[in-house]
Amino acid sequence: MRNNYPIAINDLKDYVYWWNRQYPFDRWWREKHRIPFQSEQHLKASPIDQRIEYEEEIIFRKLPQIQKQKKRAAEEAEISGHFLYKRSVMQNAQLDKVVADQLFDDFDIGEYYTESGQLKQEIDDEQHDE
Amino acid sequence: MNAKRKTPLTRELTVKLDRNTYIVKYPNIGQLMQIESMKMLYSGNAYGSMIRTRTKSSERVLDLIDMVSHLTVLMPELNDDIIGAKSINDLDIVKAQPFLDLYKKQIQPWLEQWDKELNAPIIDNNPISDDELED
Repeated sequence: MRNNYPIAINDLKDYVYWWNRQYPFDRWWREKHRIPFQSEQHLKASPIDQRIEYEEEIIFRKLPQIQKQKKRAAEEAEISGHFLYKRSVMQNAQLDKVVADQLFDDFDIGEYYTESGQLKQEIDDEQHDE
Repeated sequence: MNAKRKTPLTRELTVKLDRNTYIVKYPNIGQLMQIESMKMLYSGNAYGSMIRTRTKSSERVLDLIDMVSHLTVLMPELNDDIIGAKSINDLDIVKAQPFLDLYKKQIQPWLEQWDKELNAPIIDNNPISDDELED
């Protein structure tokens, strides 16, 4: 499916610039698969598939690098003792939540208020004053 | 590629013209090049300068050129109806209007969405979530 439509030579340069600006991953794809520009294989390719292939390449190219960074950060945290702070804060937060839940479950409003809605402490204070 | 969209962008688009339904497939590279070549052909190699010196009249002509170039390649079944003309000058404007509407309202927005998606920045700082990195 060769391109048979006439294009002025002056426009060819613009066309190549435009093409590579529009589909920057196309050149990468052609180099990867050793496919010449405007060959039959190239013309049949989908830019959507090319882009997906490029995204996959980026992900797998960066994966070891990111894993290495994570490992280094974890090692540094162990050496600096920072992990203790992080863990203790997290444990305390967890503990606080458990205690708060328990206090809420144990709370009996009858201990503090009479059935008429008066605070028992106030009644005690009044009796004490008398 | 881009931020997650609500509705997925499909490779095929179902369009309606009168009572007929057609399926338009996203063009492959050969078709994209063919579309660009047709723009040059129908504009007498003046497509770029027409865009640069955009006037109201040239805008109308550019719309027609875009419509004919895209529909010729993406919907060849319509060729007899619209592209009997060898140049834009031969186009019957009244007859071309429904095709212009079809292109501008249904096909062009879909192609623009794909262009945006395909032209999303290539460099992503961290394409992998932390969960994927957990051992």
